[in-house]
Amino acid sequence: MMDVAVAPSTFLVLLESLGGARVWGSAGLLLLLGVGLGLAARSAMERVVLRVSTPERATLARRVVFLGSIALGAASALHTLGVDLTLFLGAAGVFSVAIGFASQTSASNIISGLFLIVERPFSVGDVVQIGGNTGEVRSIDFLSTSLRTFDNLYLRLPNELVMKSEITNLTRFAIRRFELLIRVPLDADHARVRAVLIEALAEVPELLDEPGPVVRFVELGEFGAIFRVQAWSERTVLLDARDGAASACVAGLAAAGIEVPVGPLR
Amino acid sequence: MNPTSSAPWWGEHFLPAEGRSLLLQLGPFWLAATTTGASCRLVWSSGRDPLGTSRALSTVEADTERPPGPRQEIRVAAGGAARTLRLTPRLAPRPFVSRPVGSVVLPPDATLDAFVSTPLWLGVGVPTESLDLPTQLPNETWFGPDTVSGELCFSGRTVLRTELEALDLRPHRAVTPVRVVNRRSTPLTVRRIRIPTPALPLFMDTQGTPWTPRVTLTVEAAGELAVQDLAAVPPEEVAAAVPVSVARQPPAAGLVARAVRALLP
Repeated sequence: MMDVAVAPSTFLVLLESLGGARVWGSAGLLLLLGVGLGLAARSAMERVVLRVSTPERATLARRVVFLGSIALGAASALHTLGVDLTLFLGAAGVFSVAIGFASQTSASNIISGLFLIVERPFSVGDVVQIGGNTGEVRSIDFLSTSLRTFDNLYLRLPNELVMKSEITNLTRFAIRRFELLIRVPLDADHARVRAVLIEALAEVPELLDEPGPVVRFVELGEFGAIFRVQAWSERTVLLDARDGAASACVAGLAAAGIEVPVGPLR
Repeated sequence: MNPTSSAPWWGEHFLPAEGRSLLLQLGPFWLAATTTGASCRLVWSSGRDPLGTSRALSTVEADTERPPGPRQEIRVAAGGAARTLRLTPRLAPRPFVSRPVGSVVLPPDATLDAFVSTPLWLGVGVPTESLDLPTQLPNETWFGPDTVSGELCFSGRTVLRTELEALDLRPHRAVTPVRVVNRRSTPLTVRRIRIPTPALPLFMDTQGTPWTPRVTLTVEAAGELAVQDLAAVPPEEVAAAVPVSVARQPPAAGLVARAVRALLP
């Protein structure tokens, strides 16, 4: 009971010794002002950056403005309380060395994330292959990049790993090429095979006229002669185009009386 | 095949009562609109045959006629008393690349006048536009200097007609007079002509043949870019024409388009 009765008065004495309630109030107001300005400015900054740049850069600008505003408010509050801010500089030097050793990986991830946003090998919504992982980019954050795989799994990749890996952007360009390997009997007439395949591919609506399909002889395998078919389509219908082309080639060869030998392709 | 009719098939039409369908046949295109309760059922089929000549709008018993090819169907809520169907002929939503059968070589400072036809699209609305259908399914192609820069276009092989009398006029294909001017000092080989169909308005002559304004492509001495100049009025080859639809996209001011890909010898 004695401690409880004494505690508030001791606290007030402590407050008085630190400049009084007025000073604390001012400091609190400055901090709140910093937070409030940060909240107001971050939305405006995001809208401005979105007009001229990507959503990832807009998010980065929003966070920088918000954290910067809070830091400014906190520094002003501490200064109002009479705290000598230069003390932090010295401590920061020692602190940063310790933090540096402890958070090398996090710092590397943050810096890698900044480079990803600036260099833009991919954007949110792109389908990418990073190392052995394939998926749709959901977000590019400070420390990591998240993908949604085609099995609908959530995949988080540290940005440092992303920067070090080979990145293939499957949706950067509007058109894509695919390849099929077709096997025919060893004694098949190559010119006739080419003509039959080209004629069959002309009936596939998803294939582009230009660049047009190309059929080339590859090699004489153990089970037959192998031809490579390369054709182009608009990237959103690539799978349908490949499927349609394969079916058309098989049907065309069958209609021409050219049997497709059975056995491994290579 | 229904006989061709000279009456305008486009515009607004009253839908027949339940049990009957409004049937449109336009070249390879087939469309049936049937009122069912408070909705309108639209069934259509776009063919690939560019040679169709049918042009007829008639009223038939519902579900007695069958489309010639694969059909698609949609049901549109017609609301209250609105029972009209609006048919608006339009040009293709993407540029159309015409590839002449056999290259055409244009000597220096020469001009080529030719006619290119492109398939129509049809805006179908009950009564506001709700569908944008191709009358003929064209192929697709990439038009650009490489596989990274360029645009996706529709395409077709054509016999480049230089005389109007030799032109096969079809009700579902719009005719575009094209003028190619070679301002170079070397011959120009024309292998592809890109018609900017989204930037062109559409007109109909008195015979129901669709026309677009003239497109002039000038290949300057400096490079292979062709400056395109689009007129806004029907071509002089057409005596009297009425506008039926505006351009989908107005052409950008100062646009220099790669309308002609000329391969240097």
